[in-house]
Order: sequence, then C-alpha cells, then structure tokens
Amino acid sequence: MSGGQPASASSETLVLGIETSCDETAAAVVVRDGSGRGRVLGNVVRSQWDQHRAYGGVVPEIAARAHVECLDDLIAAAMGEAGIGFDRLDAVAATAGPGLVGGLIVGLVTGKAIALAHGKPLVAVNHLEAHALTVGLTDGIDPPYLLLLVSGGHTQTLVVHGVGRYERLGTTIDDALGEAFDKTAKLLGLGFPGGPAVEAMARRGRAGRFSLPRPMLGRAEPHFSFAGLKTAVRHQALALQPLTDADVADLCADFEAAVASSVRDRVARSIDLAEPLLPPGSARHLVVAGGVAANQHLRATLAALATERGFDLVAPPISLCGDNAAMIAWAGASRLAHGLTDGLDAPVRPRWPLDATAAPAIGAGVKA
Amino acid sequence: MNILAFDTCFNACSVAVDCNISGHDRTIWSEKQLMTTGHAEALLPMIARVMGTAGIAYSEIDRIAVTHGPGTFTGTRIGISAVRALSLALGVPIVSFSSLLPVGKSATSRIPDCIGDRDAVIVARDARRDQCYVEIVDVWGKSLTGPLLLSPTDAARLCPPYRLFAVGSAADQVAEAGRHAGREILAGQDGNSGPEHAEPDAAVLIGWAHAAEPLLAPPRPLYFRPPDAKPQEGKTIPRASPVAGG
Repeated sequence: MSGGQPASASSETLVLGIETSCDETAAAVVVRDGSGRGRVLGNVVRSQWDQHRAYGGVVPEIAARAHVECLDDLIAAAMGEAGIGFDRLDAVAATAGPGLVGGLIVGLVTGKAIALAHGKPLVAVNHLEAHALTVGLTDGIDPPYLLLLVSGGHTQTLVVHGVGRYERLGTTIDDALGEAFDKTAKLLGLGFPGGPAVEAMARRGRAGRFSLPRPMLGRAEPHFSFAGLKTAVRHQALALQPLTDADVADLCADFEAAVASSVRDRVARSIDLAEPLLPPGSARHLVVAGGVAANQHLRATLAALATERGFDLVAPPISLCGDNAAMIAWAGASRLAHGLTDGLDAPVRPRWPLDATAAPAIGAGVKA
Repeated sequence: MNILAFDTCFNACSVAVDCNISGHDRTIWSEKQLMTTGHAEALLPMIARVMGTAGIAYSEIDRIAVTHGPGTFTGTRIGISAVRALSLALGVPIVSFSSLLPVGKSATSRIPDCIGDRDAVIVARDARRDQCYVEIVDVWGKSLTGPLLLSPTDAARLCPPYRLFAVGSAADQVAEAGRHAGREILAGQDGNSGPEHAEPDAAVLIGWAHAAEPLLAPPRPLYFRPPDAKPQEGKTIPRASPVAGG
C-alpha cells in the first residue's frame, strides 16, 4: 500500500472512491490487479471536526454543506496524486449508505455525474462493506473472516463470507462504541471527536480507582451495550465534581478498561459462534475495522484474545481505520470484479444493514 | 456553443441541452418532471436521456448552466454537486443563476398585461416562518433585485416605480401586504398556469448561459439560512482546573 506508478496492465482496474457519509469528505484512487491485490494511488481526507466541535457532535446540515464545498477539489487532488485522468478509470464508487442523508446525496450525485460524463460504471457502496473489506487492500486478507466493526455509528461482529455476503452475529443494543467515547469526552470536557481525546487522557491516568460496569459480560447472545457504562462514568464524575485533571485521566483509564473487557468478552462469544460458520482448517482471522479500531488499548486486548483463540488479529493501518475513500474505491473495485454495478438512479440508503436477514437484537434500536 | 442546463432547486427536476453542432439551427432539447423528492435519483438519468436525444457527446459540451438557489437545501445541493462534478470531469466552465429568475422570465410571457417598461413580475415563493423567497424580473427577463428572503410586507415595498404582477406560492400574501401598504400588486394574472410553471425550467437558462461570463470559482448553494443547530452547553461536568493537553 503506497503511492506508485499508475497501473497499465489490462487486468488491472482503476477505481475512484468518494466518501461523504458523515463528517469526513474523502476521495481516493485505488488499483486492483488481476489476482485481487490492491494499491492506493491517491488518497485525500478532509475532516470537518472544526465545524462541528462547538455543537459537541456532528450536525447533519453543517456536514452536508461542508461536503459540497470541497468534494470536487478533493477528487481533483486524489486524481492528481494518482497521476491519471478520468478517462483512465474503470469505475466510480461512491458511498450510498448508511450515514447522514444530506452528505450521502452530495457524494453519490457527484460520483454519478463523473461516471456519466465518462461513460464509466457506477458502484453505490455500502460504507460498512467498505470497512469490512479494507484488509483485502491493506493486508491481502481475503474472506472468510470474523469482523469486529467499531465506529461512531456501528458496533457489530460479522462473519464476512465474501463480497456482498455477511452474517451478523452481535450488534449494539444502544450506543455505538465510538458514540460512547464521544459522549464520555463531552461529559468530561475533552472535546470532539472523543475517541482520541479519551485515549490520550487514559494514558495519563490509572485504571482501578473507579468501579465501572462491564456491560453484557457473560451473556450468551453476542451483543454489545455501552449506554449504561457512559451513565456510570457520569455518576462517578458528578460525585467528584469539580473534576481535577487526575480525576479525568483516571476516569478515562477506567472507562477504557471497562470498554476493553466488555468488548473482549463479546468478541470471545462471537468467536464461539463464528467457529462453526468458518471453513474447517482454514486460517482464522479476527479483523477489526472502523474508527475505534485506532484505539491502542482495544487493539492490544483483541490481539491477546485472538492469540488465545488461535486467531490472527488483523487491523488496517490507523489512517485507513477511520472514514476514508480508499476503502470505498476498494469495495467498488471488489464489487466490479464480481460484476456488481449500479444504475445512475441508485438511491441513497441512510439505513443499510450489511446483513438484512439478521434478527434484531432485543432492545436494539435503529443502529442494529 | 453546446450548453447543458439543469435545475433541482424546488419541486421539479429539469434538464435542457442546447446543441448547435452543425453551426446551423439551434435546437433546445429538454425534459422536466415535477417531484418533491427523488431529485438525486432522477437528475443524472434525465441528463442521460436529454443528451441522448440531442445526440451530442459529453465531450462536446462547452458550458454547463445551473440554478444555485434559493431552494430546498438538499435540492440546491444536488444541482451544485452535479454541476461541480461535471465541470471537473469535463473540464468545462459553469454559469449559475437564481432559481427564481427562470420562473419570473416564464411568467412575464404568460401575463398579457405585463408588457411595459415599468411592468415586472415579482416571484414570491413561500419559505415558511412568515417569509418568502422573492425576486423581481422585468419584461426582458432581467432581474431587478436578485433573489431575496423577505417577509411579504418587505417584499411589497420593493421597486416602487414598477407595476408588479405577483406569481408563486406566496403571491397572494405579497399582494395582500401590498394592499395594507397602499400599493396595488396584481396576483392571479398568469391565468391558466399549471404547477409546472411555478418551478424553474432549465430551458429558460440557455439564453442567459450563452451570454453570461463563466464563473471563476465553482458555484456555492445560496441557502439564505444558517444550519438549524445550536451549540451544546451544560452537558460537561465542571472542572477544577483547565485541561493540560487532552
């Protein structure tokens, strides 16, 4: 995975990817060779955090406005990094969901327009599928594997059988993990986005001072829950206020420890359930993807669990854990290789589960 | 000059292509559908159909025209997203216009009495919150005001020397406000106009698109209103001292 010369062999496909589903505007160009391996030729991301910070979270209309202001420039930059013109593309891939509808529309319409202007196929990409397939691009890992997807909007375990074939095991019954980090950060005055802020403070604190719950620990179904943990942090913080730096650091350390042990238990349960679904004797990969996969404590915990259970932990580089367009381009290239393209009338899908047949988790809302 | 024009600002999706490939007859091909949602699905296929009918290649487009608002936030962004992407992909310049201007231009030709050089159409479109999007267009299709967001009362005070013919969903409110202010504003004069006349028509943009100076920077949506969001306060637990680092 590095910059390099544009592809020329006919078995290679070049795909432009566009990502606008939340608060990052991104464009990338990826090449996929005949054997299914890929390289990133151009990759640019512009975060909107500065525009949302005052609101303590992503404001959909602000996000949509920011996407339309800069997306064309970012596409030009990604194409420039790749050193190719639009006529060289084999397809245009844009996130069609799930996400914030206003932003999705900007990206999908932009992708459709470029595809139409140059007579290229359009691939309307599921953002979650893009996260799920990223390790094919970054680490050359092909399905099947067990995936832990942890981001601001989603917390799920899935068996990835292949492109377009997903079997959801666990999901959150309330907050997504990234959301729990963001809310904890807001509560403690650490700013937005909360993940990196809480992680940085946790490193300066010491876990063990506070007794925080380990949600869902030991439950038979593999689901997640983080709302109660966030509330417990709130109660501890209220009891101590005004908070000192040390209080905040220790609370963050205990929050992170509780998260890690809850996630570890839930993923262990998912491994139990995934085992019979994976081909006997095949390599066992536990893949972690999504923005929260950047958390080092969580990675270390999952690595230890994977080793215990005979799995290899595979995590994309941190730059490709959060929202980016290289993964969209890669998912587009993967779908194109399977003959899966979309019409110019493709709709945006703000709700778009990877496994539409999965039974809803009891108590889960729309995030499941 | 071959021109592609489109509008998605309000309750229609409209596309027009002016092709002049042979240098002889200029022909405008167009399609317009009324819709309150679904512009993001409809626009690109409609462009493909009209381009197919016109029979020119995308590489033969010389200029793209679009309405930049006012309109629904999402609808306006659809047009702007498409025009910026097409401009980038084809390397051609953009010209952009108020969405109220083509509505006004069309109305001037439908109102029999709107013919003098002190006659004008006031396009008044309901924008909720007791306001309307307003633009005054003279009989030659020239904007006298540019697009504005005003109360009906303020709209009724615009362009005093002109005799105004109000059209659009807020025409009656503006005429009523005119009566209160002692000014006669004529509503309901565009007789048998159907709902499609209330929506911008991309074909009307073509004439202006030939004459306009291309934009040097890509167009931005004209929203008129800020995002509906308030900074959050009070959810953070008080701190004894400022955070160092964090």
